[in-house]
Amino acid sequence: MAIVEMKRVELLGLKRDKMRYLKKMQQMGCVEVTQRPPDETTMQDAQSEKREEDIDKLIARLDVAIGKLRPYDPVKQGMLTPRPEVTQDQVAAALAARGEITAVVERLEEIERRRGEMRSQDARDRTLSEQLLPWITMQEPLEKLGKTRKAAVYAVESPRAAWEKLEARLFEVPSLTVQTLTGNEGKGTVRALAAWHLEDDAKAEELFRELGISRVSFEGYKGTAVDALGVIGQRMQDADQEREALLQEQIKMADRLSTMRILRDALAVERDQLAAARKATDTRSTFLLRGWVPANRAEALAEAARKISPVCEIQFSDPEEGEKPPTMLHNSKAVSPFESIVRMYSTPDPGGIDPSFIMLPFWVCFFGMMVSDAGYGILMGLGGAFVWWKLKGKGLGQMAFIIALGGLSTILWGAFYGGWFGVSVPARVLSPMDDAIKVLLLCVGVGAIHLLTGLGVAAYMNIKRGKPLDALFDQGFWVMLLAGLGLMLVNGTVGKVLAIAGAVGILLTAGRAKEGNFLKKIVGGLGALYGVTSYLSDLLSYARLFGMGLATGVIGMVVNMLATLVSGSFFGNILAVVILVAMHTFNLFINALGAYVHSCRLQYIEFFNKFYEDGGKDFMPLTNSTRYVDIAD
Amino acid sequence: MLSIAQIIALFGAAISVFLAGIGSARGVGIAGEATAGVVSENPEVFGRALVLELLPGTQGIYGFLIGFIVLIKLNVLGGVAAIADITLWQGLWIFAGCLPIAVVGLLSAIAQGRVAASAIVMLGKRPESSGQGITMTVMVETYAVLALLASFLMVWFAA
Repeated sequence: MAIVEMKRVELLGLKRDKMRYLKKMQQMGCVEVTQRPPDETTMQDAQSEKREEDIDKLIARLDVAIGKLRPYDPVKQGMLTPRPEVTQDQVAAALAARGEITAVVERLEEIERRRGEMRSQDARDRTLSEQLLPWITMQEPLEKLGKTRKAAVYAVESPRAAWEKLEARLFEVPSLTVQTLTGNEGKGTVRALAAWHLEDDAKAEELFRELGISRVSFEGYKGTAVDALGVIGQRMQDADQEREALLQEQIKMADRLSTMRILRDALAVERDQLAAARKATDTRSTFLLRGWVPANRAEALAEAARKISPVCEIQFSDPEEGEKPPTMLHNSKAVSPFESIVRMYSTPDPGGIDPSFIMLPFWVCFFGMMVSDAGYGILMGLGGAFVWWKLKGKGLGQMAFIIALGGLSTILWGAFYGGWFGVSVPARVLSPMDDAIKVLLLCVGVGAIHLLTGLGVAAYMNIKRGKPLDALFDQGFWVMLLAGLGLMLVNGTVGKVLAIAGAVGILLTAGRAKEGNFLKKIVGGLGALYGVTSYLSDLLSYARLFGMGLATGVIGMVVNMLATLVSGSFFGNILAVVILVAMHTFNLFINALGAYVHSCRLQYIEFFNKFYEDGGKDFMPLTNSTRYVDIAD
Repeated sequence: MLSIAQIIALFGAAISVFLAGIGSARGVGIAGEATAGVVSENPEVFGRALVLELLPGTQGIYGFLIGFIVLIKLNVLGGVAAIADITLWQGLWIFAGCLPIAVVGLLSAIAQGRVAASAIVMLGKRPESSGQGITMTVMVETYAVLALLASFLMVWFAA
């Protein structure tokens, strides 16, 4: 339970060693490089800026390419495979293969482009064949349609009603002859060949227009409709073949995936170095780098720097007045996964307190009370532990650790309430249904302990800062008042005395910071005393521990009841098993989610409220921040 | 033949299930629309957005829970003949007990859905803010939990 003390670090060195320093820092992962002050000018290094930009672009392209190749990865990676660790040699090899890999990426992008072209060609071909299909009985070669020296021959399309009118009026255009196509009989549209002498051209056009008969153009086709369809079909077939070939090529490229991943991460590491380098102040031959380093790593850093080159000056200093160092939390292995829950709320102020440790038992306890089914607890405990072990506690493994601990607590509380997969067993301490009031009181009681612990932490911080009186006034009296009120339920007199003493204390001291006379201070105290209502609502808030627990139990019961209803016959039993598995999974999921969220809320709102000081900035050291592989030193 | 008192009590079970259910459906729906919008631009926040989207879903569960407890109380699950004989006043009592989760469930789920939708939009702009978003959204839930408790106590301890 600690926020690590930070030191400012200033490193002055020769420019030719600059990247070596940064590389070392990145390896150590203990320095957050800060931007030079805005009033300092530096030697611009256009070349390295350009390089950084190029790398950035290549990384983005590699990410896309890796995503495209992943489905064909020869080495299948499940969600539970930890990131592979690669050696420096492998990194060097991947960097050396940069040109080759870039070619692969380019080829892949070309393949994507080609696929896009083929897709649109396919769409066009499909429309064309739909157009051509009704004309397959037409023997006339398509390129012959149109006007010759003396005559016009066209393919026409017409609604049937209009066609009948045309047949009746054929005499109006003496040279017009029509021939309907077979295969279109009885359909709403008539397709036909129409021919006329060019002398009658105007008349024929006029007649067609009047009746709403349209000419169909087949420009660019050769041979009959059947021939044209054949050409299109061939083209689509070729496209299919080409697609298959491209796919094979892509699958083959997937062999390079592991190199691509290493290269991508190696480039990311280099980019981070360059970005950090740009934050320094450069002269022609020296550089000045500023940053933050955890106090306990300062010596190691200085030593490493001197080892690189004795020609350097490294200085450490405490943060100046009013300057806020970044916040780095440090906890034991069991507690550190819970830092993520604290961070989800906000990063603590560097001068504040890291609540991960003190929060842990409450969080786990509340989670268990809300899921409150021992059967579900066993599943979560085993599942979480398995995932945690598989991932070696990294990344998602941290979450798995939290779930495993929550599962353990769920087993205990489930046994306490007597709930096992929705079945209520008589071996229990309290039943949420039959002893509802007692369970409700228990929840509020646990909540009271939580709140008092919060006040205790606040008092501890006041004392640590050399303000024991503040601890007494702002927390001690409240503890007296609240504990007194609680005691009144058990022992009237003692509780009453304690509560009144606390209340008077608050009345007299809470307004002490107010300007003005005694009366004003008392009014301030009265206002603070009114805050007792917020404690009431805080306490009631813990009733959710009961409500959520009840929900899990009752839904589980309903699931079992449904399964019993359908069971009996062979198929009924199968259905019952399906219902049991599916619905219990759903119930477990939805309640674990609810328990997680509400357990966090009880920390954030009810607990942190009493002492937490947020507003810190996360410590972001220059480090090997990779996506696909871990790079060994 | 059911008595009017039994019918009234069953009505109570019905409204607590369907009003709270409507509320949750609306709430999750509102949040779901926001999720679709944000995920279309920022697919990697889907997991966190889904957590937020599910939060307004609990009211429906609470409503169902109370409805189920009424059924237990009346012994409906033992068959029509076994339904407990209750007086008109007891029927009305149970009905009254169903009201908190029915009404609060309906309205709080919709309100929570709105907060969830805003939080999801916030998530799209600042993916690291999921904790704050969840906290804001869960604040609304408190009142649904209180209503659930009130309904539970009233129905379970109906004389």
